Amino acid sequence: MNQQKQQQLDELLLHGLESLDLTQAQFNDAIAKYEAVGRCLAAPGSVLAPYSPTIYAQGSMAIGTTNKAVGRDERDIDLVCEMVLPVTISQAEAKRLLGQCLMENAIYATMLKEKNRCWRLVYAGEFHMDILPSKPDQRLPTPTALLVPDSALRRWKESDPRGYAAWFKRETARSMRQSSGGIRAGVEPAPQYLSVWDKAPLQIAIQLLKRHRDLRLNGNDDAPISIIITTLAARAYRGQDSIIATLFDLLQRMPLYIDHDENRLPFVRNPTNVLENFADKWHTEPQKQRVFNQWIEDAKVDLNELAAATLGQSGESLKRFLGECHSNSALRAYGDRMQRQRGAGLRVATTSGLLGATAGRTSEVAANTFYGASELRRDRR
Amino acid sequence: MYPYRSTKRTLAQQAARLRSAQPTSSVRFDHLGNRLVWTGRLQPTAASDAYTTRIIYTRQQHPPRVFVVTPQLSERNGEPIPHTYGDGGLCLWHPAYHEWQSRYWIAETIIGWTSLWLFFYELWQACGEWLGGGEHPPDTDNETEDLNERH
Repeated sequence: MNQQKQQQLDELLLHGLESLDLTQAQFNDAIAKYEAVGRCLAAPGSVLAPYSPTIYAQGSMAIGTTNKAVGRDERDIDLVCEMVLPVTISQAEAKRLLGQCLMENAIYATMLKEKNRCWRLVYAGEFHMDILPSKPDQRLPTPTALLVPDSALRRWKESDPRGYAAWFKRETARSMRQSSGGIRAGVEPAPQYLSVWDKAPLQIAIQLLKRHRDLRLNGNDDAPISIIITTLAARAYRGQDSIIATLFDLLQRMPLYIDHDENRLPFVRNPTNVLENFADKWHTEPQKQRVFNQWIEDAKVDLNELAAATLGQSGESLKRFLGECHSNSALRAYGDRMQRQRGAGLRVATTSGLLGATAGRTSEVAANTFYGASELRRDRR
Repeated sequence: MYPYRSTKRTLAQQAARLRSAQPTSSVRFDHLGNRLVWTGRLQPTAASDAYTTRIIYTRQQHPPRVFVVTPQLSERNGEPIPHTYGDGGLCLWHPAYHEWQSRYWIAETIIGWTSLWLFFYELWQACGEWLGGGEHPPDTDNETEDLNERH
């Protein structure tokens, strides 16, 4: 694939992702909403006030790879509520206190849903905010290490969302294109908004891979979880600037970063906690690994088709990575950009017909109005 | 070079200009030398098909007509191709706006318009929408409607 075609595909994918990504207003709104939750939890007199609760983003919201779910309007935003808890407070008790505190607020009470180990606030049509109780892990020297309830609420389990974000930020920085990724590492407050045009190529590639998974494996319980895709992609990334080149390389190399434990069982290491295996479920449900492998192969086929498609054929292949609606938005945005250039001295290479050419024999495209009979008379009036 | 001048261009002048614009293209004359046939290749973007395109120009009697030879243009899910004439020629400009005049160079107007048309044709194939703007000739039904509205 030549460089021009690579740039063209990158541009189409970015246009599509732009229509899928959080807008700045939605992003700011999400942060304002969870900060308000944080203030409510920490308000003097609340049941949690003695434990100095703080709330912050984890997962895709913290590392700038949030996608809209397929067929749903609401986005998942994962939050942790960190509290300084005495050892006498159990996992179940920590969760109960968090729920009680939210329920004491008349508005939150109506939006609240109980989950296994966390509480969900439903902002209908906008977000799901899952709030997980946690406490600092004082056994470890890392200031960001946490303990969170396991899914059975029976024991505390290690977690380090801020450490993970800091690690991820370092991996994105392998690109020559300078981007902070909008990630605030360490103990800084909320992440910073970046549009898709300012994000790092690794973030974009991960969003596209997750979207491809959602479209291809919609409703399949064995679909690879986002943390596995994100971790393998970040480890496999070699600093390419092109989105399409990054995707090709990641799909080749991601499987190489699945390690094996002493029993030769698959192991996707948590970079902030070498003992944690993100793929632990693959041991008891081996079909999950088969689904992962098949998904990688399917994505390779779809990517090859996208790279081989002409612009006229690209609709079908773009749909596999963006979905129909966002694929059409991408093509529309691409056409609109050409329309704007037409009004601003667009040139054409007369030797090849290449539009937007700047070198060789070029002439300015004169003003014209496409005319003719065959189309629906959409914009006549 | 400014493409517009007050004098009309001869077929030979247009032919020379087309050859120089795209040296690999072919220009021939038929109909006793009264008709110019240009055949060249246009690829609007790096990801586009390369289209063998024919421009047929009979001096000063008819404006140039433009056809795509290969690959054959196709309908989309039964929808006819936008902005084409009944004979398959491309509708590139609006006659009423004098966007084409016989004193203009074909090489510096029609080639660019054809490339743009092909670009928007490909986007139409990909998403089903004509994104290049333009206008459509009134048909009888709507003209009646328009007249009625005026009263």
